[in-house]
Amino acid sequence: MNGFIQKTYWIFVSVFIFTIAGLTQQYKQQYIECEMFPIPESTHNGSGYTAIEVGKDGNIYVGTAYYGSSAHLVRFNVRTLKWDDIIDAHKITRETGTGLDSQSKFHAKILVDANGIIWAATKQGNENFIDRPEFGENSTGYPGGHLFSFDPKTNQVIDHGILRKQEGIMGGSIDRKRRKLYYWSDPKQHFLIYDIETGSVKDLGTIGGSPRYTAIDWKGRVFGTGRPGIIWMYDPETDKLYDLFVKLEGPGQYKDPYVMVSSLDGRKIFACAIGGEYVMEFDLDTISFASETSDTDGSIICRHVGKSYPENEKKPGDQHAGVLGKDGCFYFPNVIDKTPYLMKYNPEDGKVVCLGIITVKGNPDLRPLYAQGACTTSDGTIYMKFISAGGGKQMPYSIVRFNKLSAKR
Amino acid sequence: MKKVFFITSFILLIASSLSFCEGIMKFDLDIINIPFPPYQRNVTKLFETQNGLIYGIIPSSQSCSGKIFYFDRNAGIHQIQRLGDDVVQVDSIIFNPDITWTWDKTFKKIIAIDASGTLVVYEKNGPGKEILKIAGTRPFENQGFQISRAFASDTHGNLYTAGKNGILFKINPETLEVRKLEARLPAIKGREPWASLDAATTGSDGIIYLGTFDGYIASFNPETGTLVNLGKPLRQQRIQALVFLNGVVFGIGGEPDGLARWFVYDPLTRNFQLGGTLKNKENRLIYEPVNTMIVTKEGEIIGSFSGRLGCLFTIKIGKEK
Repeated sequence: MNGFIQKTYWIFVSVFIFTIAGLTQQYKQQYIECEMFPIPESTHNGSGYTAIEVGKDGNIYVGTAYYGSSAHLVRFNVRTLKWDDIIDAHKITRETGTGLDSQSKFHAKILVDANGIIWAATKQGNENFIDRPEFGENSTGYPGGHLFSFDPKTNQVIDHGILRKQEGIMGGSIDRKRRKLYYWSDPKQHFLIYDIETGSVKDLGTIGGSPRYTAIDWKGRVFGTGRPGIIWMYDPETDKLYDLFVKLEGPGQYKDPYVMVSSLDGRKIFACAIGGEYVMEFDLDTISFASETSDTDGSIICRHVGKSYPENEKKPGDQHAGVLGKDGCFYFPNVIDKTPYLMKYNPEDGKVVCLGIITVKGNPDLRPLYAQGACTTSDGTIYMKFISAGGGKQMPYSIVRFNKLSAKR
Repeated sequence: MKKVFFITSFILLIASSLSFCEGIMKFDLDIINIPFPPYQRNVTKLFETQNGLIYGIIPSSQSCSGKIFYFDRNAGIHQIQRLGDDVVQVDSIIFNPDITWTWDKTFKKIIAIDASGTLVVYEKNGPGKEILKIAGTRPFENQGFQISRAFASDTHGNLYTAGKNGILFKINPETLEVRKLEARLPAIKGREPWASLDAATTGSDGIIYLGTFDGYIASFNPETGTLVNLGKPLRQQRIQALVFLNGVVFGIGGEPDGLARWFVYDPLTRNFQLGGTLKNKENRLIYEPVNTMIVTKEGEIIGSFSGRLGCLFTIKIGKEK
């Protein structure tokens, strides 16, 4: 009898220990910690968008939004952890517009040239999206977004002027070989090509959508979301814009992507959509010009490669940012009911995994809810930009660092 | 006495509010997709034939040769090679986006203003016949001919357009007689070379409404030759299109780099009502300028937006009660 009790006792203890160990293990896997670096308050009023990139100097360049006033381009020194104010848009342009007419956002993706030059562009804020009084009704009017370059070697800022009258500059991809910058104008959605060599701008007409992210492939072709269900493509060889009808492979319904990033080899585009259920993979080798619809030029295959949200959740959430890691994986936050998960899609094994709930080191009460841009440094560290918001305690407008998260294994 | 004054004021206030409410215009815009690839959708001319079919013309460009299509509410949009035998078709004119042209009322002649501002008439199988150079030049512009972008027609089939410094010309398509009129499009001093005719429509009473490059609206009585400047409904330049229906002039204006806005001119009250930007039923803003606009026999406005993804649209307007 004693033996039976002893045996039962040990079984019970073992089960208890394994259960606790299992729970502890699960607990550790549920969270992913980042370090937070608030952006200087004098340069913004709480937000900023896709404008973040790592320079050749290893520093992080961030564009801020200052509604009704002047946006700033700031630099985060990753070694000293200090910020520099590089561009005060109104100071450089000598513009004095307020409200609708101010250069209040660096929204376009920051672009880095092969020579280390940083390119940044402004747009309007405080928009009245329906009436647009700045077009023709205001006595002043928004002059148009400016394109700036900054040379970190000389600290010289150049204002390259307004790319399109009265319109802001959005999107942003760079072709370092051809020395071209690609943007689109807001609100009219015109595709703009800026030639770095000549300083000239070409307008190819409307793209039919407002893609915050555009992707560039190994051939220098640029892609973005256009009309519903359509991806547009700019081909530098023909110097034309094409509309590609999206043919979906896999489960679910196609949703126009918000984030689009090019794969390491530039032959695929990884994407996710706001509220999208699936991670998407556009296969650029499937582009066909045998048009299947009369109002497009061709088609492209998009595959739904996996659910965009963790297994323990029942629905997708907000996916506003994403980036390609040095390991070739696609990293994106997915905020579901005010819980910010960090997700990772590995194209090698085709799996989407949840890396955990994002928490801020030393600030466990903060919930980084709205990521608006991301970049990856050469050692695989991922920086993301979060606007000032929170489910509980309000998070300051900051960049956060996931140290060597995507380092090559 | 105070009481009477109060009651009278109250009644007047209610009456004025009611009349103001009556004036609020209802506006419904529907987009009709065109089944042609991007860059091949820039419809610049629409017209309706006796059988109720709407025909459209897309000029040639770097991306495509010219296209003709017809639009049937039931059967959709279909491309065709040629218009009927009863319509004169000169491809070098109708597919040229830089030439202002129109048919006469019989569709047997095309009257055009060429790139140098000369009136030319085309008939079936015949070469163009130059009639008269009417355009002036615009200072400070490289290719500065003052060329109007529209013809107006009166109830007898005579055509009208504007030439140098906004002077109106009357063209009789039958006799090919061209008369220089006394009437002149409105312009502020110094802007006369920009007083070109951008758009025109004819009212049911025969009065012609004219829209200018600088954004003025004028009425012109072809019987008396009287032109009245009705003013500028928008702050922007350019009148993109005008149509007359239900007793009012419906117009869309704004610069190509600006944003199209609509307005209504009521000849009875001599008032403009401003409608604001163009939005579709989903409240999405229309960004591209309007190329052309017509009123169908059924009383529906059909028009076209320009640009790479240009499309057709229908508009229904009416008064909200």
